[in-house]
Amino acid sequence: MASKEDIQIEEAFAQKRMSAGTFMRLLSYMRPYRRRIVLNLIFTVLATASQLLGPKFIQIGIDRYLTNFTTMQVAMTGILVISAIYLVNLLANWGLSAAQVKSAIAIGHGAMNDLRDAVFQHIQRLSLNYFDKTHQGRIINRADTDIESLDRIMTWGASQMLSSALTLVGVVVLMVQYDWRLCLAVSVVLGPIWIATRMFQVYGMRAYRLVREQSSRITASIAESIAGVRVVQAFAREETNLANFQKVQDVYFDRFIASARIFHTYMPFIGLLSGVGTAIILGYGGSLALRNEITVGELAAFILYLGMFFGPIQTMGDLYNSLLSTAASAERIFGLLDTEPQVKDRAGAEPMAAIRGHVVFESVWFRYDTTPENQWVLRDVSFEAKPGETVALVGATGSGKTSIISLIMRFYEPQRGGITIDGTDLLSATVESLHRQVGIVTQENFLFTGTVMENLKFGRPEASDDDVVEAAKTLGTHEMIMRFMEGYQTKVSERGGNFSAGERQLLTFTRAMVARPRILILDEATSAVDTQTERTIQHALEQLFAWRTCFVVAHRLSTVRNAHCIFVLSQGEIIERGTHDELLAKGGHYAKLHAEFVRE
Amino acid sequence: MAEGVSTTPRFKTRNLFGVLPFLWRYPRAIALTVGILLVIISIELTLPQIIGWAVSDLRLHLRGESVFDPRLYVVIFLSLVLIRAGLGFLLGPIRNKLIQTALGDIRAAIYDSLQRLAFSYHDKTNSGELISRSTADVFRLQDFFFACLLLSFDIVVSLIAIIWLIWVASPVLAMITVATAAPTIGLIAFYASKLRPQWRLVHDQHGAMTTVIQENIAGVRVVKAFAKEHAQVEKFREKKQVFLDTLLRTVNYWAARVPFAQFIFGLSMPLILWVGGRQVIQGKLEIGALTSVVFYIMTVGHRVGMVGQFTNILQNASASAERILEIIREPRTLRSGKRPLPKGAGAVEFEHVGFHYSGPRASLTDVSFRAEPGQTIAIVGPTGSGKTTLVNLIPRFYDAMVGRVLIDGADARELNLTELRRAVGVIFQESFLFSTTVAENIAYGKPGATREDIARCARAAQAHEFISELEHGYDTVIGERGVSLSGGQRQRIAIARAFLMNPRILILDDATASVDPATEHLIQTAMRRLCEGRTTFVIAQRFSTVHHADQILVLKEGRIVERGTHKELIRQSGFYREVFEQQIRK
Repeated sequence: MASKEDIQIEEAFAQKRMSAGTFMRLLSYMRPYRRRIVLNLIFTVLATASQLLGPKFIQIGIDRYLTNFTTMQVAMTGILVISAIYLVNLLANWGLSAAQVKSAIAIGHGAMNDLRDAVFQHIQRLSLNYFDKTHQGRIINRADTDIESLDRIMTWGASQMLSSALTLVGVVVLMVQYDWRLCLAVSVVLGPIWIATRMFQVYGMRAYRLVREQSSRITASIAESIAGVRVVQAFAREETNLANFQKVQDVYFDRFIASARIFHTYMPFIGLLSGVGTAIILGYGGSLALRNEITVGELAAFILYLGMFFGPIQTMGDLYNSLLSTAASAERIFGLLDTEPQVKDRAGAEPMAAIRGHVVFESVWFRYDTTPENQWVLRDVSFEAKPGETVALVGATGSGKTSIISLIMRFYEPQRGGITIDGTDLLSATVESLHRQVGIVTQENFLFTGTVMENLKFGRPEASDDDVVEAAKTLGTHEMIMRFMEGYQTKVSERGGNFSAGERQLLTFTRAMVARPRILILDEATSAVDTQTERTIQHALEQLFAWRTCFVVAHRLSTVRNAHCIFVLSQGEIIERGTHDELLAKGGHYAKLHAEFVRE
Repeated sequence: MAEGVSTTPRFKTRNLFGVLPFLWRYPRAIALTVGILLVIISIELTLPQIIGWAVSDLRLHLRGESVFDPRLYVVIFLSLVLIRAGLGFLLGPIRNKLIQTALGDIRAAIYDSLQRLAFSYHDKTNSGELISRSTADVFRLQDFFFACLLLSFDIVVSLIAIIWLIWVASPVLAMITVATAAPTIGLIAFYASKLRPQWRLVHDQHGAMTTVIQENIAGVRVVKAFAKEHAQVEKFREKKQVFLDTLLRTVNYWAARVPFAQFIFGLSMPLILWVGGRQVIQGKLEIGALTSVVFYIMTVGHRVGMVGQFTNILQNASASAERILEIIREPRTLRSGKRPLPKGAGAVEFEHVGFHYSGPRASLTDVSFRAEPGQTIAIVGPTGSGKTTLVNLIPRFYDAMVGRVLIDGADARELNLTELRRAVGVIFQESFLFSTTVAENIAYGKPGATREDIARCARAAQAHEFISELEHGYDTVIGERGVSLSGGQRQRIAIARAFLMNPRILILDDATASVDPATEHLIQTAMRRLCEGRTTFVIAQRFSTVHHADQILVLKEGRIVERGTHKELIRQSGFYREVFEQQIRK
């Protein structure tokens, strides 16, 4: 099993060659912005050209007016004119660069946001089978880090590639124009720059991955010592833990230094290459100048142009790297977008009419995608729940209780057999119309950030505050809510972390009540509530059970005692059914469970 | 993640000075780093000079006034470049080791502070926040130390030296440089601090959007069960749009100002070309000197660009340093006493003990009782009556505010804390295990324990059987990166862990609430064995567990309202009997 952090590192460092299909598909997300892209590229070309012209003006200034001039007057006017031209060029560059950056970000983030939207929408359509077999962290990454990692290519890819290529070509052309021999001599440094840059990127990335992995271990150590601080202190482990933490830090230190060493070899090496280039210009160029084959200004321009070699090569190497990780991200994103939801409305599906609550299972066979071959989670399950009845499902972990409930919710569809509600086959109804009428409370007790009130209205946003308070009063949770710092307006932090498990559970009960479901399902809903509180809400729950069909899954047999019918499940089959008293009298599996329960 | 607008903390130099001592500890490495850096800067500033001399020399040669030998310049230039590369290669590891050592010290200080701070501190702090302080905030200090040691010298020394070098060549040109560089530096620093809260906002909006995504996926069953897919898309779109708008607004703000600031400095080039050119034409300035000035201007431009980065680093670091120092400087309210734990068999006495939390939680008022060695004391009462609070005072997770807690006759506050805590075993309501091997978890309180001892305790805790069935037995790694165990299994490991400590006093917080009946039976057996011969405190909601207690304390709103054995309490028609009858009736 991998932690969330492991997955993030694994995915962040994955690289792939980009296939033509992936590339075209990414490109299709840029289509809506094509006009702006053309404009952006025009800005880029112009900005690059103005950049390239700078040294040229200096060369002209030196050669025409500073070293050789006919009269002082001509030279003075000339240097003024060339400086003025330089200034205009600078102005143009300023405007163009700012406009270029603005438009690039608008395009890139626009397209990324469109893609993020598509991913988010698709996630809403996917069925639970996808969420069962895919680690939560991975799904979150698709809509989050994977999209982020497209930034470099989608925002800057085209313009940076164009400007780097133009700069390199432009520099070479201008150099050749001055003197092809010197250009050839200087270009000697290009090869080593390219090789060094690639090596730096490949090895640097590898070393950096090791650093990241270790840094995630540091985070994990700290997180654990905070989460387990009570145990740490109870066992007086502080000294040992600090020593262990230092060991984790030592590994991090070594890895960091190793990774930094790569960088600190590369940077001085590039500095050395640039020095060698300049030395070539001074030496070889100087001797050419001695023979009057090139001018002083041209010599200066050469040195200035040499400085423009390094940026584009590094940028292009970077882009290549980004392209590789973008390809990996993009394929993962498209993989998600291409996943078909398992449960979806059939052609001609109609919304379910107001449910009365007559639920029938007819020889239902079911297995999950993750279930091993030749095994069934439910085998030939048949039963009937009449409107208003309370049905309890009892059995060991893995006996199939939750699966029955998931099928009623149509989170999954059975492989064989059929399920009807009020005589309507579930497959011929729309999923949404079913979910609107069936309420469920699980032990997961998940809350969203926002206020308590917003959470309670989750299932029925049109409910008034009074409706909510009334539901809470019926259930007996109103007093608890009023004890919170700001009552119904208390903020819920991520996953409801600021409430105890019991409080969260009671809030999810209330949430289900507010939604006024026609069928109510409680899946181990009371296991996080202490026995005393359970007793308090038991009465309220019974009232709610009275006029809707309810399904209850519970470990504690005290909660199922009053059900109209109890189904005892074992290995996917209903092995006993009847009321509490009937089953006790029968002296079977249920009676045994009950005896064990009472003994405690 | 924070939703909505977060405020940018104010910049305080005090905070930065607070973390610098972690760096000052290594004066030799600092001196070495700065020394090498200064040599590198000097070489960097000499290089344009050499190009200038070469150009001047060449020009004189062309005029026939001297002889130009390029070889000399090439040799000097190349050797300087080589030395620079060598020094750069040397400097990298030196300064990285220095900075990383300092950061490691800071992390260790935070770690140690966190694990020693009292429960009362951890009750009120958010663990996610603490983790981010010890990771992300420390990481930001890396930039700060880098800025202190290198950027600041690089910017300040280079700028001063270059302006002086240009001044020597031509004072007018030096003035042009200052006149263009100064406003640019000012503006860039100004915009950087203006932009910071805006970027923070962008970051927060991004966080808000990500939170929607994360919650949507984590809560997918709820979303589907309530058919809320469309509402979720709406919510997401709203956040997404806010993020994009804020981002673009910030970029536009940037684009309208920062390039302009850079443009002001850019003016120096045409101005120098013009003014310097005139001086060359008039013969007041060597062409070579003008060439080197041009190269210097490019060097200045580079440093000016770093000012924005520098400002950001300082501001970020100020906020991070503040958050880090808060943890390191948090006063330790619980201090160890000096007295060694007296010999004894575990007598515990509470004398008029009073305690209350800072928040609205269960408090204790005037609690007095005495537990004789080997006795089992059951503590019962409704949720929030103070049961857990009471037992937490025994190993000094909190200190009694009124009265005294005596362990074998000695005031707990005077005792050596480590010895005290090792003598008190606690089974918490939720059994927290560490993500390491099963064996190491059992030996948590006694890292040197032999495998035989570990297995013996696991057997006693009814855990040996399932541990042996795990793929790697006792060496199986559990937790997020390893095998996940059921609640009942975790609990039995926690019991084995307490067994190995062989404590004289034992605390059992009602731990069997959410385990299925079959496992509960195993756990009960293990617990019973663990209690033998130890003074035991049991918090329980089930009456089966309190039947055999030597003494039952009934708590209500922080006070002991009834006490006695089960039989005695049943005879009285009090609170205990009332609750007991309720449970029987079921």
